[in-house]
Amino acid sequence: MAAAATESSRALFALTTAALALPGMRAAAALPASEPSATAQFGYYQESDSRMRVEVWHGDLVLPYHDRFELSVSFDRDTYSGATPAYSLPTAMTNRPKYAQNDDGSPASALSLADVVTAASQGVTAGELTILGGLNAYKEFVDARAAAEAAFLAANPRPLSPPVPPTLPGPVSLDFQGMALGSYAGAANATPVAGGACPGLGALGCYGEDGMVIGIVADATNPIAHLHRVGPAANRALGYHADSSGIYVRALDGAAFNLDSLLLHAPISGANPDAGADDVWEILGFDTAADPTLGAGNGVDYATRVARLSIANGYDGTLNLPAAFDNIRAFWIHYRGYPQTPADGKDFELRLDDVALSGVQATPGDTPAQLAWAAALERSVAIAQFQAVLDRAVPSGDRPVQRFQTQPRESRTQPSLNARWFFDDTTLRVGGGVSDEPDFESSFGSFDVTREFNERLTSITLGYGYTRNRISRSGVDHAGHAQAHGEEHNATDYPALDAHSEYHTVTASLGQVLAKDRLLQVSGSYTHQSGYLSNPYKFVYVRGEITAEEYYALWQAGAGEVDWASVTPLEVAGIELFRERRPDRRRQLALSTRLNQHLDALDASLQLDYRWYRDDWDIDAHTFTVEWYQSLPRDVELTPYLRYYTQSRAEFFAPYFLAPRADHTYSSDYRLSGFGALSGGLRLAKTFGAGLKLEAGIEYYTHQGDLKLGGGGAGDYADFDNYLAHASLNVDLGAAGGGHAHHAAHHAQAPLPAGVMAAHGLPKDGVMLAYRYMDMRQDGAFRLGSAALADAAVAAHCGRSACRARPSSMTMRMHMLEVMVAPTERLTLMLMPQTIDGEMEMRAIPGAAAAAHAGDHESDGLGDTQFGALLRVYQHGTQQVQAGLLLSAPTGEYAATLDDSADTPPQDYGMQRGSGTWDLRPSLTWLGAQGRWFYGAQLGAVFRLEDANDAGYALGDGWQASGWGGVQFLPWLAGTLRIAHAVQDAVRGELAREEPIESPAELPFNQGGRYTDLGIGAVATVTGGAFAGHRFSAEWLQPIADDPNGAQLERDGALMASWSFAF
Amino acid sequence: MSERAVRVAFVLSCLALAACAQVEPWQRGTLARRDMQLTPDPALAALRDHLHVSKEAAQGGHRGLGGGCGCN
Repeated sequence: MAAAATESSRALFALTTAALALPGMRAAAALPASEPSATAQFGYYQESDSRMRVEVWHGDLVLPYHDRFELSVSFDRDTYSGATPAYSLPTAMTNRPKYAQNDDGSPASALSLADVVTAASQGVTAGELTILGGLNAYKEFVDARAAAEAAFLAANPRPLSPPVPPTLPGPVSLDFQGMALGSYAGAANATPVAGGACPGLGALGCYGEDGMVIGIVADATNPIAHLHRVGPAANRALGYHADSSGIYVRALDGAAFNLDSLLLHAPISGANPDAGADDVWEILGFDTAADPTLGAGNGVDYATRVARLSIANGYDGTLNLPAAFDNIRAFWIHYRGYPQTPADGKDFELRLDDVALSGVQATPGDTPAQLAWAAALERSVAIAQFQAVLDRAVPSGDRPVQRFQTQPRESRTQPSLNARWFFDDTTLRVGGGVSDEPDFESSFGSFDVTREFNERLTSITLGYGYTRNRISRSGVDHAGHAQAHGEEHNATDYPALDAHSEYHTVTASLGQVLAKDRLLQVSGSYTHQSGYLSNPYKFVYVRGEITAEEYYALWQAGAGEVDWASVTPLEVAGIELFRERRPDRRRQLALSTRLNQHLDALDASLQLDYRWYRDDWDIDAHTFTVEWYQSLPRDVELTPYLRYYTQSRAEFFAPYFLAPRADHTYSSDYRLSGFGALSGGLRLAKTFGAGLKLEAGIEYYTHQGDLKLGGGGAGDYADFDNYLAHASLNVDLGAAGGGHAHHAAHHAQAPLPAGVMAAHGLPKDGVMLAYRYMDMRQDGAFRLGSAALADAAVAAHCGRSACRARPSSMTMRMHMLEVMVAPTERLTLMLMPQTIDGEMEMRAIPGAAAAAHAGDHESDGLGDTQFGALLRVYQHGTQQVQAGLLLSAPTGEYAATLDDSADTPPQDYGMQRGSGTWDLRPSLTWLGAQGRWFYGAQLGAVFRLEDANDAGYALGDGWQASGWGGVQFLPWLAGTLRIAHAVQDAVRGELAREEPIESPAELPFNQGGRYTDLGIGAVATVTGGAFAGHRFSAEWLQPIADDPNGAQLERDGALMASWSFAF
Repeated sequence: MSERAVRVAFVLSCLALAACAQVEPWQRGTLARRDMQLTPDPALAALRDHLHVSKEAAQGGHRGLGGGCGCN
């Protein structure tokens, strides 16, 4: 019995060992891949309403190295663009009437509608937030003034001014009744003596009446010049005739007065005979009481003169003086031309009476109380005006409105590397990589250890990962903006963003085989994030972060006076808008459970997954995923997929904030809102033979506030949906060399130069995969036909206008994937997607006007996709003829613009990635071989099946003929020599554009031409070992004769390379 | 967690482990199928993860770290 037991256990052991040795027999267990494998995947993600779209490329390679070590490399590249939500605001704050802005900053009368909460396109200044088209321009602000002013005045009447006496006690009428002497020779304009009188006493002094001083103007030519007392005693008057320099009147105390009227008797008479054009009485008013220099002047022009009236001689009556004679301190009446006593015998005579003077009621300066009141009025009114705009009533639950910003087209590139070491029961994995995009650089590394127990039915994995991110922000030129607006408007001067964050993650996972068809995995992860965790492109509307009082202070601030940090700890990004601010720490915990169940009867597997998530930002999330892998006949697999996700909102999230938060953390990023998401999809995979798997799928995803578990989501303002389409190809590289008869048959065929495509078919059921690369370069001089063209001469090749720039170099790179399948012995089907990657450098043409779009241009993305069939129409021995018919679908962009946005001009024709038309590509190939020698010829053409694409043009038709020969130097190495001639017609129609033509490459007739190339190449075929059947080829095409249409950049040559293998 | 709950959990896990102990190596053909792997399509899973992390707040669970992104 003992022996039997031993034998039976030995047998069991042997069986077990044998079973374990079978590839894949260790469920979920650690074994290196048995063969190298590679995966290529393309995904296209598109959100609703022309929001974000992303093209995602992925490639990876798994390379086992004996049975203890495995290395895998992967490469990811996402290119994204489109609109993305920037912030949201209550409906009540949108579309408010606002006065347009004049160039000088003053509001114009026209009203238009604008959001109160608005993002500035660049940096912000205090002036722009308020008076320069900011809050002060809203109609509500303007309209609020009257009521605010009335309310202030009602509560705060203006403080009264203290009474101020007038300069003269009351109206004064000089009637000259008090003239005691017959004449007065005093000069009233002379510097007064103490008490205000003029120098001199009695008849040598001035006449005084009612506080006024009346005399002559000091006259150096006549020491006895004087005024006269005239008229009877009952009605005295003042007389002036040709023995003095005129009548001068001022106040005794020098005070100001108004000269209202006077009685002027100057009738023409024997003593006053002249009435010529210059016989005029000048009445001059002065702002200075005494000015001894008047007599020496010309009688009219004085710095102190503030009023002048000329009255023709002969005037007799009351003269009312104009207002210019109000508030004067002296006046002078004299005969024109005689500021001094006439010395030429001139005669004139005047009597003056009833001079009406009145006191000046001086306007007193505002008192300090009045000044303070006026300032308080302005402040209070302005604050009420700001409040009218800012604190506009927002109904409870007012629907948020989302505002977007455009994400320019950018790419993220992520290479990564993983290594795994396999020990008996333990696997160690170490990996890391970097992710690089314009404003975000991330590097990450992780390791984990897996230990298997319990006959490998149980495995436990423990791991740790570290990520470090560097975050910057582009698109806001702080310094430039501040300079442009100067200090006077108080630009915000936040430093450019240069922040970091880091994540530490620990993971633990338990895998357990529950039954021969059932598997369970339970995992947990804990992540500690710290540093800058905000999104630099998301904004929040926060009412009250800047109060109406602070807006008033910003408005009133002088140059350089604003200290933004004391206004708000947030970064101001526009009117009432701030950059979001999240806490600088986040701790995340996630627990996942997955169950795999195989259903033998249905030949299907079910995967159920549930994840529980919680973080200290208060977000709870649940994720449910179901995936059904249904195997179908002919190695086809159909996989439906369904997922539900729900999360609660972050503690500091709101669509908008109507009051500041104490900790000043805010986010309105929809990804931190409460919402649910439902997604589902379907994918189809087909495996060819042992080594090639093709898959395509589509998934639809809808994000809705109302889908949140338990309700209370963010509402529907941020709802959107998206779809993700993907296609992938997975190749078991080792399988290619598996010695299939097909492979032998295929590669028994003669090698081909790398640049020859669609040349030979496959045997029945054959599958071939190839990667082709082409690098084509143009550089150097421009050519017109076969002659070189100087830069100055290039200018003439832009049609109606002169060229301003010309391409100086251009590189086009093509990556093409070629999949061939042969359903019958003679027919081979082909599919060839490709990407195009172009770079062009421009150079200004000397002496031409500056080009608006000079500089370097880039264009990269999916190209046109070709598909079709090859038919072997003749075969005899080593001779065969293949007829090919391919269709090219317009999957490449044919109206690409300089930065892929609608507001930049289109790239030129050579930089477009597709034709935009469906094209037919027929070909005929003859192949032959003899001994070590092989040869062939191919005739191919391309016909555009449409007259023009949607952008208004079609590329020209073309054809190509080539012939080649080669020799097999060694069993694995051959050399090829080829001559090729191609004719490509010019572009038909014209690419629609609004901008003027600047470069010859933008014109349709400067496209295409006739080209002859010589190709020299090599072909290497792996003849044995794990990689048998793989073939590498490369060819250099050297232009030997070019005849381009119009003016074009010289061609340098092209490199073609390919790698192919068959199953 | 109450003592009773701990006891129930212990018994359940023993049962679970006991159940799997019966899967002999030669019975593991089904478990070796690609569609029974924990992550049958790693590239697609990574693509989905990247999009979900870009559009949702939760992350982590079964899968480890990738790089951060400035996703919008």
